[in-house]
Amino acid sequence: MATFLKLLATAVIGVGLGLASVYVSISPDAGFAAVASGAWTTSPRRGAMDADPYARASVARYADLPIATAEGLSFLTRRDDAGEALDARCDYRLVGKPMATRAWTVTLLSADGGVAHTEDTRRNFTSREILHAEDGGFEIAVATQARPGNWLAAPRSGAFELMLRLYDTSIGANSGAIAAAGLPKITKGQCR
Amino acid sequence: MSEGRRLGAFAFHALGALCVAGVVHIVGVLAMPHLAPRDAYAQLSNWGGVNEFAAPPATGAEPRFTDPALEIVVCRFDVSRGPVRVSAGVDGEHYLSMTFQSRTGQIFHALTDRDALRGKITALLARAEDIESLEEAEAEDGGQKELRLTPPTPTGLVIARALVDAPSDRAAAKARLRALLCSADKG
Repeated sequence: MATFLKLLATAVIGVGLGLASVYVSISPDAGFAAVASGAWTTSPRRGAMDADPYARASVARYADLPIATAEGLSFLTRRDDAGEALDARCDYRLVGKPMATRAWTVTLLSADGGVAHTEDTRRNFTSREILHAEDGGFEIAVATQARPGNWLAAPRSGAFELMLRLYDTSIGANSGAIAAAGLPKITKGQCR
Repeated sequence: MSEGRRLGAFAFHALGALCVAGVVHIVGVLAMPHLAPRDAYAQLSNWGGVNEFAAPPATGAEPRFTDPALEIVVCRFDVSRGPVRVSAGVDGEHYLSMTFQSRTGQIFHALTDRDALRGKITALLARAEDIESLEEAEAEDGGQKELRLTPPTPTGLVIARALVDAPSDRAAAKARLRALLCSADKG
């Protein structure tokens, strides 16, 4: 009887540990081979036809509709280029140059990937509408207070995320190509 | 019980628990796409009927990481009662893409308007046996070439996205999506 109870306890602990490990490993951006470039990270495997089991489990659990790699690439960041968390108390400058893509968008999201509540109705910029410099470069100010030029309103307080999407891009979904893609740089300005 | 035997028994049970945990982990991860109750397919089931493109309801939470520059329509297809045809006319200027994914979220095809032939995207979704009988029938009269796909599961999603270049373009993007067709194939 004692042996049976011990085996039962072993099994219960095993199942508990197993379920806990599933819970921990299926993070919102799970998937092997996340690729980073500067502050930006992408998990192209989430949109791949042969997505790994962790990516597929995560997509199902969080009810995501990832874009496939044939449609484009999707980058997320919670940090600036210096590695510090994006914080609404600070101003940021997003500086970019033309990228090998048909169109791109930059979107400001709340800390959990949802809609951020800001002073402005604008939540994003697309490559077609943004004010470009003569050389095709662009600059977006991310700040709580309005700024001249391309301004993306940050929430009044707390953390936030930035998402960069490249649609119909010729940039390959591998680390070499993404590192060479010249993604926009994010630098912190003044903080209050 | 001697100290050594006690340690041995503990090691035996600890190892057993780890083995069970490993098996549960693997089964859990692999089963998640089949078991997740609130996956995208389940959440989209109130958007519209089967085998038709439907826009998101006016109220309702946006999925995470939504790009506000995209308008989106979704067709929940079901090929178990016959082939389903998806078609779109494109103008070559505006970005339009489609993701084809199975009931369990596996992407089995994706394309953009750049893949269109003569301004048109058409795809036929059908079970393998339906495609075979189609091809047999066509072998006699030459037949036409079109994109034919067999989804890994009989039901699934076609997600179509249109890029809104600027806020003033939103109505036009919605109209581009309204023109898409997803319907049971009449042969």
